[in-house]
Amino acid sequence: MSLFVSLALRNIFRNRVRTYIALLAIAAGCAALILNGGIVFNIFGELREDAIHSRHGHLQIYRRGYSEAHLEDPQRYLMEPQEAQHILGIVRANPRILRATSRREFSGMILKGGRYVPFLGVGVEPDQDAEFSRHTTLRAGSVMSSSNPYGVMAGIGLARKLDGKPGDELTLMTMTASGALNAVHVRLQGIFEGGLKEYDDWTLKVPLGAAEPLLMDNRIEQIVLLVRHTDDVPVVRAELESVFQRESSNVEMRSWDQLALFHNQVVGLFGRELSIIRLIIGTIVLLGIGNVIGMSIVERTVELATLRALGLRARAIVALLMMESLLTGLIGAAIGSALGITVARAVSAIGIPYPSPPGSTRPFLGGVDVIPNIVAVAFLISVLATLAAAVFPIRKAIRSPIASTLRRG
Amino acid sequence: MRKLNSVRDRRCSPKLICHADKSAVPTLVHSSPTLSRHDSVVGLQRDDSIIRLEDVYRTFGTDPGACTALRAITLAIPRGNLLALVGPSGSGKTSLLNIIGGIDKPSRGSVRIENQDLMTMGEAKLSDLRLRRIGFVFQDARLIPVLTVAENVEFPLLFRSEMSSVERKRRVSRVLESVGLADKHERRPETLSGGERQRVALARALAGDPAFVLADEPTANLDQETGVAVLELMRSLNRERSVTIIYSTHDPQLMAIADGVLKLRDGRIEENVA
Repeated sequence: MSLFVSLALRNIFRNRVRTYIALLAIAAGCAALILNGGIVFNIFGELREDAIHSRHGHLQIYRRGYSEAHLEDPQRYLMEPQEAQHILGIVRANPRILRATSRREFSGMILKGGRYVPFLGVGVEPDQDAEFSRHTTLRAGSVMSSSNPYGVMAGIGLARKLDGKPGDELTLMTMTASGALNAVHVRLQGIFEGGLKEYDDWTLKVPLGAAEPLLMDNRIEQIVLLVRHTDDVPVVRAELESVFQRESSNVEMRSWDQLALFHNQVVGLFGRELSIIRLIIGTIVLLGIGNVIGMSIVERTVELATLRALGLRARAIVALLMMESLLTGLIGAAIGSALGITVARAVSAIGIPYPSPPGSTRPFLGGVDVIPNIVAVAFLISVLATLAAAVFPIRKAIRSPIASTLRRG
Repeated sequence: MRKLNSVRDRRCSPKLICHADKSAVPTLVHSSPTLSRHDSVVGLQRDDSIIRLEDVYRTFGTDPGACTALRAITLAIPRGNLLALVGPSGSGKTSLLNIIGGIDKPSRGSVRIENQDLMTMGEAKLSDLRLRRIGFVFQDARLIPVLTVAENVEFPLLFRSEMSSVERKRRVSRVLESVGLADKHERRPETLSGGERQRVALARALAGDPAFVLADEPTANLDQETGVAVLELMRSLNRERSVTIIYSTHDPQLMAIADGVLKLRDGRIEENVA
């Protein structure tokens, strides 16, 4: 270690009590940033998994143009069964993909006991649906299965509107592609809670085996994919797009983050809030240690003037004092990172019971995620705040005239 | 005192000429034949005087209430001199040393160190000059308490980019040996006596092989015996290394060791004694 760095390090611990106070302030700020970011990202993660495993899957494949114009001409963007099977064959060949399923969305009315209740139907493959609905809570009854093709599941809000319970008979009515009114009898097999109120108030999951006779159409609307690791979604998307392009397939894809508007709004809002919290904590750290660092520099003004008299340039003094601040910041940030990570893991092991987040219907047990990027940013902010805290006293120290400073000493 | 005198007697003392104001051409010069041309010089020319001041004033503050610490100081100090700067408190000793050392600038007048005009130098150049050509010894040593004796001596040398680590260590050993602290390399300043601390400060000042050393009341915080010992050390280093040393003191007994004595009173040169 050079004498220069060694001196900086020794200067830090000249006044141990003061140094410990500074390190504590930096460490507390750094840990607070890690914990705050970890909590927010844990909530983001919960919302993300809700969006993926309750509604959207990781990726959805449609006929080209679907996203732009399917509301104007829904029939045009439905896939023939052979077309859907071909696509399913392609996607199931990708080892990163865990599951693939077909869906068909439609709307109609439910007749129960003389009451008509509108619904949004989602035709699903019953045996696949459980995997795609891992974040859906079964509130009553049981999940769908291929052995019961007329067993449907209603969102908890829709079930309340129907005053329905598992085992109730329902009549589903809708318009077929030709414009005729059609109906089928189904049985309410289960009641689920997907976490998003709008979704739970309107959604009825119908096995494709029941949706096809109701719609008098065996075409499907979308193929939904689950990828083994969420982080792989962009890679999988690129791989599939490459295959589809090679085969000149007439399809387009959307990923979960393009579909989960609610998630995106929450992330946007709380992401901004996280930036503000970082700024506030950074400022608190800066103010907290500014005084301590200032004191340590000001009380050494005569010593610094002596060094300048001995021929050290102002920039050498700045370098020495900045080195001291940098080392203080690094030590404090390292302690803070270790503290933050330890507390995050401890809290995650216990769990934090949260009430329902905005727009959601379910409370959940959260934790504190340890996100490497957040730890790095917290570390950086702590070090930068420490350096910034030293700027003013350093400026003052190097600007004081040497002769008069020495005379004061 | 006998010992001091004996040291002094061994050396041929240069003649010092001093004038208290500009009208009387206040110049302090070496009396060697090659330098005799300076006897009447007001406009300073290239010569072997290491330090030349012409008509230097230093005023602190602004009117009203301004305080003039130095008035019409003109002097030239030859190489290799051991010069004592004496005078009562407030006579301008420290102000004069600060100006000679380039850590303060005069309000008026010119200062030349080895023929370089300090008045035209920026802060960076002045720092370089102090680092390479000037050594400082302060009243209370002003060592860095967290560094060892050797590190204190070595620290300013770190900023001499041309000097290798090996060269620095060599110089530190040599200079500590010359001040009699060869066995105290690893000691911290707080474990040393006042006299030893001043010797470390002297070693620090000399380690960079400066052209001259300025010592501002280096014995003020020492007892008489220790003070004499430190000055004797300065005298012997002055002779061994031919390094100019200017020290200030208010103790008349400690001026006897010097080649020349410059008496200051109220910011003016009152008298010079060779």
